[in-house]
Amino acid sequence: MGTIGTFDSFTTARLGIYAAQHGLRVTGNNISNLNTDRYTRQRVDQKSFKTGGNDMYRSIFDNHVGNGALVTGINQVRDPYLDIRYRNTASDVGYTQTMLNGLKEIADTLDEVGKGSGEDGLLYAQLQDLADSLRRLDADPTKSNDTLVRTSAAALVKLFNTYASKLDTLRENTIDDFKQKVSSVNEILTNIRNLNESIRKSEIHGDNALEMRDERNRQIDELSEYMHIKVEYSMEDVGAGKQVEKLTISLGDANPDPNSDTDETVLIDGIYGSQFSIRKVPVPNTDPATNATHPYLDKGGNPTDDPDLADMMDSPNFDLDVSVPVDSKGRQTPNAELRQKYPVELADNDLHGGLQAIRELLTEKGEFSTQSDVDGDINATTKRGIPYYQKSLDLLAKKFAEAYNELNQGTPVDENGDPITASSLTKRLPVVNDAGHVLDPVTGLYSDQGWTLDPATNYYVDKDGFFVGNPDHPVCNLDEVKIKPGYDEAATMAEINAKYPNSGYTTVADFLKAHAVKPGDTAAVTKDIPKGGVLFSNNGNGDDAEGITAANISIAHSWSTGDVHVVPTWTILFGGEVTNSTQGDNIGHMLSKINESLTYDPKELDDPNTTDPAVGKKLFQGSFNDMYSNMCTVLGNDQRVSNVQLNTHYTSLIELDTSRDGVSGVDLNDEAMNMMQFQKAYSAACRLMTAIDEVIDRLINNTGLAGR
Amino acid sequence: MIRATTGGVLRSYRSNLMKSFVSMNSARDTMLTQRNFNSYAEDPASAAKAFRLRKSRMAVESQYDVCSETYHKYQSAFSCLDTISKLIDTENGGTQLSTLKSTTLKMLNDPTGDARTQLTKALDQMSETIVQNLNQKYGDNFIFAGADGHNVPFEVKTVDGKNQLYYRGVPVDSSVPCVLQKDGSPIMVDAATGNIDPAGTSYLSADAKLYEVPKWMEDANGDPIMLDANNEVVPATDPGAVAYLKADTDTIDPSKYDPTNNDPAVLMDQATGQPFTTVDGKYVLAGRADTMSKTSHDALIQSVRTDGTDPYVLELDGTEYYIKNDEDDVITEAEYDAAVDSARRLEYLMNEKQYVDIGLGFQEDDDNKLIESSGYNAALHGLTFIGFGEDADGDPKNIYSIVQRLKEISNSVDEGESWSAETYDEFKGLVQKLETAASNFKTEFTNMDAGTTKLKNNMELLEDNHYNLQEQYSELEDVNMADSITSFIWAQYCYNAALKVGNSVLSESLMDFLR
Repeated sequence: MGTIGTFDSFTTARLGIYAAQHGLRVTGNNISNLNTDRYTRQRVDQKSFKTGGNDMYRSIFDNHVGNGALVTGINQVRDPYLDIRYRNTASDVGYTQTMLNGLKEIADTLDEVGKGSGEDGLLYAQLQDLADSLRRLDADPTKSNDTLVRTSAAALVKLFNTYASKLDTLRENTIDDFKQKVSSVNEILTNIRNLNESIRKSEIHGDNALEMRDERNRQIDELSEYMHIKVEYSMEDVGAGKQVEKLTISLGDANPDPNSDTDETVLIDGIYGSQFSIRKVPVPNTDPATNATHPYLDKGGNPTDDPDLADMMDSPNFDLDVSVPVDSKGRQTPNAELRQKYPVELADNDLHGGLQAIRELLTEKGEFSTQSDVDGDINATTKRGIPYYQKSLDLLAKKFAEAYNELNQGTPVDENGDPITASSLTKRLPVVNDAGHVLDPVTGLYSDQGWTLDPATNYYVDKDGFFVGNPDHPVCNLDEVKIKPGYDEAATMAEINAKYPNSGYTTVADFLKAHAVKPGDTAAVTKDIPKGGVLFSNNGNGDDAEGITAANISIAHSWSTGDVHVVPTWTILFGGEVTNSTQGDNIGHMLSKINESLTYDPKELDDPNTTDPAVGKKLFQGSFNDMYSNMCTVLGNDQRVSNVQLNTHYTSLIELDTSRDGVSGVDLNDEAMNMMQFQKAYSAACRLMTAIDEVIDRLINNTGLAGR
Repeated sequence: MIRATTGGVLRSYRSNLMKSFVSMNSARDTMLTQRNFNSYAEDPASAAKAFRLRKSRMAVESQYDVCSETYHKYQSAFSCLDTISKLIDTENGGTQLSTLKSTTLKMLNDPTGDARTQLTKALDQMSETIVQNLNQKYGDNFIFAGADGHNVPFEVKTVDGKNQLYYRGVPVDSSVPCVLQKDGSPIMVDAATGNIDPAGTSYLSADAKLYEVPKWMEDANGDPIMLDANNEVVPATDPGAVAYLKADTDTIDPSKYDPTNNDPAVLMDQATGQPFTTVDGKYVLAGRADTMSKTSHDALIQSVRTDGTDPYVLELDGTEYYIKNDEDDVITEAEYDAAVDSARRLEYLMNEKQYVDIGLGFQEDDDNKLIESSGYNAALHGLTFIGFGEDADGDPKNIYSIVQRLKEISNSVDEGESWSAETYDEFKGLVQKLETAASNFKTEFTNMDAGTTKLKNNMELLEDNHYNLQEQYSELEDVNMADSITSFIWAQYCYNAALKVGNSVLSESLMDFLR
């Protein structure tokens, strides 16, 4: 039997007291942090203490007894697998929630359910209001009904403008939001990097820095909402045999393209952290006259072929770059292999999470995607963000304007439906005599009732008695010189002299002789030709119908000033000699156009000179109303899908969070048990101390008194 | 879950409480808005369908307005036509002077024509009334102007002292002139010479007078057989020949001739003194010899058209004719073209349509032509009712023109004088044609009335459609209040229950039992 130190047992009791007290402190800390966000419950790491080695006089019969309990550390209780699952799901929630919010904002503009008078919608109902106006104009083509159509069309284009403006504002706001989110992500990455640095220092000094780890976990959780990440812990040798934990965060391999490796870019490498930035590209020169040789614009807006002189702007695709990881002092990571990969230009699909959702809201064009878009993302044609809805609205506005502009710029046709050409657009003209008296084709009498027809000196006017020139005398047309039966010679001469100040004409007859056509000749009919023209233009100050979009569609200037009207018919009956003032067959075309099934091809919005056309073949086929309804249905379905996904992901997230709480959360029952346990242990250790004291007291003060 | 921690329980409770609150809020929204969905996202299919139904309803409302407008135009047209109908009413013919029929009959039965002048004036006034009624407006548009509602459709012009009615600038009696034709082609005349000339530019009226080309009895050489002043047969070259012997002169077989008694009397050949024998061996009966004097024949030849050298012969149905050379029968190219042009215009105008959308589909085919059955032709042509053009006799078919013609005939007979038989027949014929025109008017009036009924029925149909469509989208959009209230109450009940659970979610723990 070996020796036993007289006061060893005191140490055992003392260690027991210490251990229990530590336990109570940790329990108290846990209870105190019951409501602290992301707090991980702590646990005392306690080990049995036993002194090592053998004493000099150790007997083979000696039995070692432990020397009590030692508190070796305070640890957190976490389940790393739950963290991984939580963070994966958080990126799903971040993606779907951001997407859903964005879609909802688009729907706030486009979704017309329950809106408008009688809840008939706004733009949707206005198309029908236009049809109603056209119906009235068809039944009675008067100027007042033409004004009704114009007023209705003006309200319609205003709605197009308003919707386009709202979508544009939404996109601008979303860009701001995107930039803010990039900034938030960078702030989180900076925080994590700094926390890594502090934790590392603490660990080197023997402190577990549990509270900082909690904060770091909170930051990582937050980061995981923005993007799919992979978190790894490893040990780092800090010298002298000391190893500390190293945290590495990289992108979570989101890109479905197996060849992509940028989707695993390291963002945090221990105390080194990267930053995101929106890629900058040179401002392109869009002027076809110069962009072949000078593809960029400098800061002054001048064409240049030098990329270094070019003004820079955010990448249209809002691509993101990742900078080389640096520590808090700006020193780059010493890992040369890692360093040479930076800056990393992330591909279109390298991210998944809230940040990617907002990128997609800003860039995805659905069926309007080009080949280069598809090259970057094979699923580009099925993803729809704000640009998709902007382009759909533009396409609708363009098709609408083109359809009606075309119908209002038709070709005059004769009573047989044959196009009226320059040569056929002629009519026989009544005869006037030298004095300008007009032959009444019915009575055979001239207006002076006494003139004898002399073919050699006949001149012609139109059926209303208006003088008509011939192609050799282009100055003459029906609107210029008017000579009617019983005309006012003086007034007519005044008109002629005003028009031809140095002509030397003294009588109307002189003028007619000089300008009139001969018997049997024909003259172009200019008076009765329907004055068509574009109804819609790309701005209200002109009649330019090129490049009409929802944002710029306007009532053409000529229509708004009354110079152009809706052409009721293109039919000119019998050279204009028979009128058809209430014929509205062309309005009928316009009316049926409202319900006509048209094909909406995404390529129609392409620049004619583009080398990267839209790949979508057919967006939709249907009427204007159907096209708009289809836009809203697509939007509604996307919202529905996102909503279902969000509910699923969110439920999973809550369950995972609860599961994490099951592992890491503080439970009052647990802590009460721990409190009782540590309290009892403390009491027991104290009792042990008392027992030992009594034993020693006996040994010292009351031993060896036998026989006294 | 191995552990249910306080934090976990609270998080779960909060999440579930929020779900319960969201459900209650959604149920409340449904009840307050009384709509099954408030966005496309809630029910895209129903939202799209509801908008389609609303679009149809809006279209129906608009179509109803147009249909109603057209219906009222037709009603106005009905009033105007009813007035005219009473004017030309044949049922009351002869009983009063308030109708065209009775007035013309009165004139017809008044051969001495004392009151004819007054009756003529009455006719004139009634025809004016017809025109005035056909120039009526509905709103700002002329009802009977076809597709030219902004301009007066009917205008009366005086041409050569006669009233001529024009419809949209075209004479209502326009028709393609009937011209003489040979082998289906018009016979052309040189306007300057009057000769038949394929290169000529003028036409001959079908009314041109024709003379059947006389056929002569010929000898073996094909030369005509003529008679001298003694009624004896001589060669055509004989200076004494004065008359031609027509081919259809009666002959007898020589066996029936009794030379002894010269019975029956036959024509004698001057050269032989014997009965003249035709090429087929017959004798010509002298008493029934059909002849034409050389003078008459020469006069005839002088009065007919030639081809420049010889009289022009027109063969019709196997018979040859000469054409009388009469200036009045020549239709110049300009006149012909003008008449054809006018007739073509009239034909076009009468077929002109003005389609409006009254809810029949209003759709165009692939060639952008309106499918006619999908629109309603709202054009009313006044001429449809009162007729236009000329009939086979060259008489007008238009009521106004017939009346004017009657008036002219009446005026051509001096007051107090009797009708000539020819005039009377012409007048009588025109009265019959007036009756035909009036009958046609009645038919067209009835047709238009049927159109009015169709419009009225269509309006009722549109009304029904309107209600049906409202009902359909209402079924889609509007909530069943019983369901929505029940849903809300249930959601509220669940929420209240969740709140109550909240009071005990933090149940007692071991802590509460420590002393």
